[in-house]
Amino acid sequence: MTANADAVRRLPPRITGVVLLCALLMAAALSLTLGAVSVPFVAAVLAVPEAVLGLSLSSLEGYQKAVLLELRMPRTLLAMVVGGLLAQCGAVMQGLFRNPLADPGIIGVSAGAALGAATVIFLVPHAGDSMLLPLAAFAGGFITSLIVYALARDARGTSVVLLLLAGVAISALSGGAIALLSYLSDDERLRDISFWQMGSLGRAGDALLGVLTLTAVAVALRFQMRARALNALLLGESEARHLGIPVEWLKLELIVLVALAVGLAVSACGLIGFVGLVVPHMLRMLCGPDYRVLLPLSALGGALLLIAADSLSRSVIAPAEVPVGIVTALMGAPFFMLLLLQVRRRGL
Amino acid sequence: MTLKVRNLQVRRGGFTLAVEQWEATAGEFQALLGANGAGKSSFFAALAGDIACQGDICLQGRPMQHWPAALRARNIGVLPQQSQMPFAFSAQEVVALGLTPLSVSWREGQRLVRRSMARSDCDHLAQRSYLDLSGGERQRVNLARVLLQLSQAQAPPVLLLDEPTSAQDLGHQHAMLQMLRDQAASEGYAVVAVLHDLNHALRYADRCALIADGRLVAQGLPQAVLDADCVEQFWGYRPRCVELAGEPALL
Repeated sequence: MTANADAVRRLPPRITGVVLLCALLMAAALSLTLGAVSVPFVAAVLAVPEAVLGLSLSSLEGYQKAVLLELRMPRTLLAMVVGGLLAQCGAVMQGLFRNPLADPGIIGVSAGAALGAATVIFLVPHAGDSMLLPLAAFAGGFITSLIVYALARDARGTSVVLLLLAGVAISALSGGAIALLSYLSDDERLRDISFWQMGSLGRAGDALLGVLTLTAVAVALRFQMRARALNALLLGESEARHLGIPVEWLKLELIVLVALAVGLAVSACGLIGFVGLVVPHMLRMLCGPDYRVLLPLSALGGALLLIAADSLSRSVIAPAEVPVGIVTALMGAPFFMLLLLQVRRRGL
Repeated sequence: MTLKVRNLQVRRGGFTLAVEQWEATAGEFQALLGANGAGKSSFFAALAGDIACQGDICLQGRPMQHWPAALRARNIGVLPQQSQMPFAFSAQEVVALGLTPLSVSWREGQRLVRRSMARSDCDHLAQRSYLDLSGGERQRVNLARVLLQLSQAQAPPVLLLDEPTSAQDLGHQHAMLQMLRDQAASEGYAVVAVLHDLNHALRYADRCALIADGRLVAQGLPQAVLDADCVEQFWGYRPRCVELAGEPALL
């Protein structure tokens, strides 16, 4: 038989995972060395055990240590957490919508979360450090998810056209509302609001970083528990129900988790697009679409991609930096166009 | 009675389906017949639990809605006319989705996957991408998935099939119907299939149920139900009833 010629080709997921993990650790250590204050690579590698165990392994000056532990490590951790979370959310949304083009940014969920955040910045002075901001971002993301889902879904799943148009409509609405808020704002609030729209990893407080990290771990575990159900859902809602999946609960749960994760990510670092689109797509091509494998690999891949993008954003015009949202958009948008071409050929 | 319906009512737009009494028993292959728009799709969807309906549907003596979802899935499987799949799973991985409601070890799962793929004649497609398969091949892969889903049933399970042979070539049509008949006869499955080809019903079904104008108008042996008058009345075409090599056929 010629079956082997047409066989699905895959990389072994375990090996891919190990490679991604090694690359992620390397990139994280490298990103710790980037910046005006020079820190040797070895010291950067040793920084994590030093910070966790309280040892003194490297011979860094006090100011180097302060820069490393108080500025760069939180930032690198934030990039890892947000990147991993966004990639997983993209993968989950693609399953929920049964569509490879779904992504929290493209279908407007991030825009809704940004509108929630901008509203709070406008209404509440010095909201930047309170938990009101992530809550509002979550609410914005959740409401948007429900609207997009209701607009784009029909009996057979979701149509690409409706999905993208719903995203365009929501993003336009949110963009308009944010522009109005900016117009009415004083200088300080204007600066705060514009930061959301570009996305930056440099400004999240420790409390938010802590909440975000814990949430990311919890959400990732919950996604993993739902991996088989997500696989079944790809067959269609009634098939998933015939396979014994409580479909309505599953959908609600996933939408809430994605809105929570995206809301927190947006409130911590603004709009960072395309991570959720690019990472799961590439990993599906490499290791197959099984969610039990795709979700953990996406977490690693998303973390790696965002650390790389952040390092790039800090080094191209150093000592100044480009907002990382601009970097991911410039990298991701061409990729999105390629993906559109591919989907058009397949006729999905 | 493995699957039993009492006083079923389905409203869909202006159309009403009302079935007072119907059942499928363990070990039989029953064909659901009817012209286009007669209501067999509504009836099928109600049995599958896809649309809201009034009345009682009991699976193995227990009302459908009282079954825990996963346990019910082990005892009633549904093959729709076509399933979607947006991503490039291999055929074998699509079949393995039938393991979702089961609790088996990985090794046992793989054995069951291979067995059900062999039964529905798609084991040679195992490593191919589902997206590259033809309509008929996809149908057989999904049939293997549904057979797999029923492999841990405690009592004779129900297999609901919506036009399972619609995308099959002649050879596969007969192979599939024969396999379903064997599944009923030897494993005790209650197989209920919507069929369009009346000769398939005559040749393979133990009983057939005829639905017309939103009612169940007949249930019984295929030769008894499908005479020339009946076919003319409900399908608007008068066939010649002949006997070929000892078996009844409609021309």
